[in-house]
Amino acid sequence: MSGFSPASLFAGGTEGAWYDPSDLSTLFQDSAGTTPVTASGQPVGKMLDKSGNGNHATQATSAKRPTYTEGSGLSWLAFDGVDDAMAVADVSGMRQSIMTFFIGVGQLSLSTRDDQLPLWTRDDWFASGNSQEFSTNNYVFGNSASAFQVFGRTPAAPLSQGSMTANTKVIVSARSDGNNINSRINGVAQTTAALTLGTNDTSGFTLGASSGDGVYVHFTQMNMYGLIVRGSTSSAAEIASTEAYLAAKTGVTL
Amino acid sequence: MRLTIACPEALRDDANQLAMVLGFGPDDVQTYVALNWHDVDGNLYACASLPVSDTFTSAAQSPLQRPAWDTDNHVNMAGANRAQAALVFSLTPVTAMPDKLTACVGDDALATLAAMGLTQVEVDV
Repeated sequence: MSGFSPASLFAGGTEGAWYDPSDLSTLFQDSAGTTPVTASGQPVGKMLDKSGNGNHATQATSAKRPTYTEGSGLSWLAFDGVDDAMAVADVSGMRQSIMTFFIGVGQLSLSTRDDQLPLWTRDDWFASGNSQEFSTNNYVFGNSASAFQVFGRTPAAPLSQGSMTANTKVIVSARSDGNNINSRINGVAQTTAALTLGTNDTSGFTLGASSGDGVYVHFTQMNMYGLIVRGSTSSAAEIASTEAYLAAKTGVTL
Repeated sequence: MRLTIACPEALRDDANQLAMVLGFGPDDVQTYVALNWHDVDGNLYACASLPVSDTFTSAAQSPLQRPAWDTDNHVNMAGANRAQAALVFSLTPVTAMPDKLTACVGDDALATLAAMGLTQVEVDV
């Protein structure tokens, strides 16, 4: 792990995105990127992609911007669960069915309904039928237990899932290689399933909400400490190193 | 402090005009969009939540002026004023009403909306 940087995941022009809220040089209060974030409590209208791919996340509407927050030596974006979301318009070149996803997140609230609270959504959920969503899903009423899911629109059932607990920080990773998808929570492997997703390769993605026909729905109240999406499958060593990197950023012990 | 605002369906257009006046630019017309919340009577609301300063709350309750960026009269000031006239500002959660733009202070936005008597609309995916 020593010396590891997520930048290595994007060597050779691999498509994807890497967001690091602890790097203030990547955060701006406005979506144009003209007013830097300088202090805890300020809104984030633009978050630069550190992967080198230029997939910067933005939010043009001021009320919908997450809040940069610091505490206990950590930094994160706080999404309020009401209207906060950030979006990347187009990730052309990142295939939907072959990718790796990592997030360090503190899930403040979990659904008491049998549907999804999205951490990250690819594509237009309602329009194409080819969406791919990494989300939480609560099967137990209340916040005592829940599940992280890798959820594919086709079939409309979770592909890989594992337990999460409300108000607990976790490192989640998921890898799809075009044939199978499997997820890990805090470095522990969860279920694996055959992959039957579509191949829409041209859409963007949304952080903190699902979107349909340009309208956000299903917002997630969460603290996001780091997010890495790689348009490639990843080796076991790459996954372990990235999880360890995000664990340090999130304040999680693996 | 964090302000959480419930905008009833009937006030949505006017409230978005007010959002542009109090916000930063024309993109703030998208502040109240999806009617994702409802009250016990089934009235629908679009909600927003954001951290604000005392300056913001003062401006929201003072006579409105066309924002400096709006050099081509993009904002409907009459609509913004109607929304302001319907504004209810409270330091504690109060029940949302279908003819009021209800803005309440509270650190947890979801908890504030619940205390305002609102429930998320079930949207199937």
